[in-house]
Amino acid sequence: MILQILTFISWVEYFFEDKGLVFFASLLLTFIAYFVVLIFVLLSIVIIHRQIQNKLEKRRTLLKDIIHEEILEYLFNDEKEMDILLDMVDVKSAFVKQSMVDFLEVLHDNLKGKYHEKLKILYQQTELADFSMKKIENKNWSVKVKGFRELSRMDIDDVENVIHEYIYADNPIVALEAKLALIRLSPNDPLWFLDTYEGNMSVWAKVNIFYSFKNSHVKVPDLRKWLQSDNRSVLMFILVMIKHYQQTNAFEDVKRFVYYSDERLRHKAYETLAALNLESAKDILMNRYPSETIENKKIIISCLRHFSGDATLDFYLEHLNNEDDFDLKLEIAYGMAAHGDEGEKQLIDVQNSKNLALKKIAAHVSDTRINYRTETTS
Amino acid sequence: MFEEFTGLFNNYYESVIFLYSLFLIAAYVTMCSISGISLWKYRQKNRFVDYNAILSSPFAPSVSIIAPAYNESKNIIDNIQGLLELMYEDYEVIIVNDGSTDDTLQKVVEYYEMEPVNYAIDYKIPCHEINAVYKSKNRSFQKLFVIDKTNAGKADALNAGINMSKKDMVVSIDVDCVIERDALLRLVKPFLEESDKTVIAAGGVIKIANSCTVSEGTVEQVRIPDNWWARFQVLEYSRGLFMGRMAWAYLDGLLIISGALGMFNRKLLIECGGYAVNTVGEDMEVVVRMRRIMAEQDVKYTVAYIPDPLCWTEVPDSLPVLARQRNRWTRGTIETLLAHRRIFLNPRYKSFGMLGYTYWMLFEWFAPLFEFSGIMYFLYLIIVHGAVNWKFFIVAFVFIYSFAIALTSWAILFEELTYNSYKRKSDIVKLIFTAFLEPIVFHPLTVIWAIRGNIDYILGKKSWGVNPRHGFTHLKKSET
Repeated sequence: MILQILTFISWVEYFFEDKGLVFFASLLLTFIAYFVVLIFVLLSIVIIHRQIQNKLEKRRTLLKDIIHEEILEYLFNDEKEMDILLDMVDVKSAFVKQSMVDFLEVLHDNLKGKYHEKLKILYQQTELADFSMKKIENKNWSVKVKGFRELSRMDIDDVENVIHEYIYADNPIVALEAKLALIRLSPNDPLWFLDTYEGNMSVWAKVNIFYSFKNSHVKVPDLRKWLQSDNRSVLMFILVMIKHYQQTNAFEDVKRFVYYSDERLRHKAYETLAALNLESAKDILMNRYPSETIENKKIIISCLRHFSGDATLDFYLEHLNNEDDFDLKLEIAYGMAAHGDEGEKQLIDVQNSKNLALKKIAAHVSDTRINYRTETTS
Repeated sequence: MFEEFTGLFNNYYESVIFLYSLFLIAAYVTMCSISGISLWKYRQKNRFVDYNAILSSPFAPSVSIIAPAYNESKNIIDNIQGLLELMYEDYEVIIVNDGSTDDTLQKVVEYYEMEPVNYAIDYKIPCHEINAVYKSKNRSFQKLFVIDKTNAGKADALNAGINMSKKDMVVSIDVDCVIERDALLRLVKPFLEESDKTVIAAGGVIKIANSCTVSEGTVEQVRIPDNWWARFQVLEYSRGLFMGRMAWAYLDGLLIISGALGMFNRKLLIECGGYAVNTVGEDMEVVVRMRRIMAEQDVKYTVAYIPDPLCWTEVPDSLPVLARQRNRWTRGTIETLLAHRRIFLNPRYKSFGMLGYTYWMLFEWFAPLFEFSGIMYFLYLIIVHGAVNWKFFIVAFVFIYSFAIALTSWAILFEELTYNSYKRKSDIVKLIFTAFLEPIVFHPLTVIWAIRGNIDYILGKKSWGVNPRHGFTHLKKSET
């Protein structure tokens, strides 16, 4: 090695009369050699990768067609096809197994009754369930998550305890995926993990828990019990769930949240109360209005549209003149418009008034071409 | 005496250039490594993401898409169609006709059966008076609004759109871009994921659509551009967007979300004053200002960047247009950096001030200046001293050339291993061939354009310059 370096330097010296430049030129030449090799390697990887991908794609398509055909044959015509499928799994190619699992998952999600069960039997007898189980034991978290997904989608409830270990995993994705899997595997109490939910639940987690819950078609539990939670993010989640599933029996429990110090929590509570559509919510909303922030006032006004009556219309009129915020005034005007003929009459009066800003707002709200739905703030 | 001075100057100058080059190369190598890690982590994390979960979720935020349009008659109908067919539940599309002198407005009004409505607008952010707001009579287009206003530039048009928007998030886009169907779902995800920080803005990768087949607002076939200038930009975009911005997002020092497509928290955007109308680099300025305000208010925040290709744009394919664009980019960068100079090396702004801003100043603004001065110095050595060590010059040149190609090769590899947009082997070969030409053909021009940008900045030039588009329909015809 030393000999080679010395040969290299003497070669550089031959070209460079200025001895001071020899070291520097040697260094640059070394880097150039490194870069040339690097370029060659990187670009070769690019070209080889492309060729491999193209070949794999062809193989995948071919194999998938065979696997899909065999599984469908087993499912709808001949149960003896199970032997062929067992042989295919015996090939021990992870690719074959994975293709089978992927297809089984799709079929399992879309079929009902005896086919549903047949698929589950096939999944277990071909030991593909073990194949998925091994993924859970894998150290790579993304493989583990894949295992959770496969087993839960195939309704293998024996693994509930195994997955349970991961709901407090340090990796937030593993922890979330374990919870999503358990929603499906615990149909009697799908949201039980909310009892002990730790930390702040991100909106992403809420989106996924809701999605998984909705697609699992499990019975919606009584959500009131989680309104006792100390975790603010769980409370926010449950308030939206109560609103979505219209659990009117939670009305009294939701009511107390309008007095909480947390503005966002009050916001969600107002929305939920209004959505439950019980007349008694109207008084609560109107009473809370004066002490609320502008944002929450907007949501109260928007919620009041659920309730009609002269008192509400008077309330609108009073605040249309007193409030300064443009969006709030717009909400109030929309509230008036939602009150039928009487409300529209009042809006015409506003349009004829001298207040230019109010005139514009009234004209906007009265213009039925502007679609109402797209106007509401969320 | 003079010779002594010039000798001393030469020594100092050469040392400065040497150290600068060393730092620049180190910065590029570091960013390349970081972006590789970041890209890998992103791919791992999003491997199992089902974006359908966001669709119809009561937890998903609503979105206003704002697209300023100035003389976009060629593509406007198709592109609006594309925007109306995005995969997202609660969103509205606001097209701002910024005083077009062609028939942009008439075309939209006729095709989408629009009529003026009595829309009351609250001018939360100052902008030029809005002449009219149009809404379609056809309920199929109920998501669509068109604002007509007098011409006052892109930033002013965006501000008009923000004033009209009613949703939680604002997406600013160039109306001549083609947006991927699931772009909103992908862009909104970073806002949903963070529970401890506020995400103020998010951006994604912009891809080049020249020579691609586009139909009804969707890119159907991806091709390497036939035009060489556009082809050079493919490599430039890959390096800049895949490597540069990915690395800066990872270091939480990202200073820019591309004006072609970016999502912002609407409330914060309004609180920060919307887009600045006195700069030609409004996309960079707004991100820097928002970051600055967040840091000064001690808010825990971040700017997200996702490496998914979300948006396709037609880049300039002629030298004069390209020169104008780069000139404007340079002026925009200088304006933003100088307007927010207090951020420079200020620990209060954390990595954004200590790393991001410093990098942009030293290596985005100053790099062409250093490079140009190096060329001048080289010419001075030849003319005045008549003696240059040509052997060493060649070694140094080959070193820089091979480094540039190595860096581009990494970008091509990242592209191949992740999204491999270019499926044809011939496209990959073309890309590789272009990589060998880019440092000697395209790069020197970018330096000249940047120098012109600096001069124009000093002269106080504020113009945007016209950027004529061929239009995607034309591209489709040429393909078929």
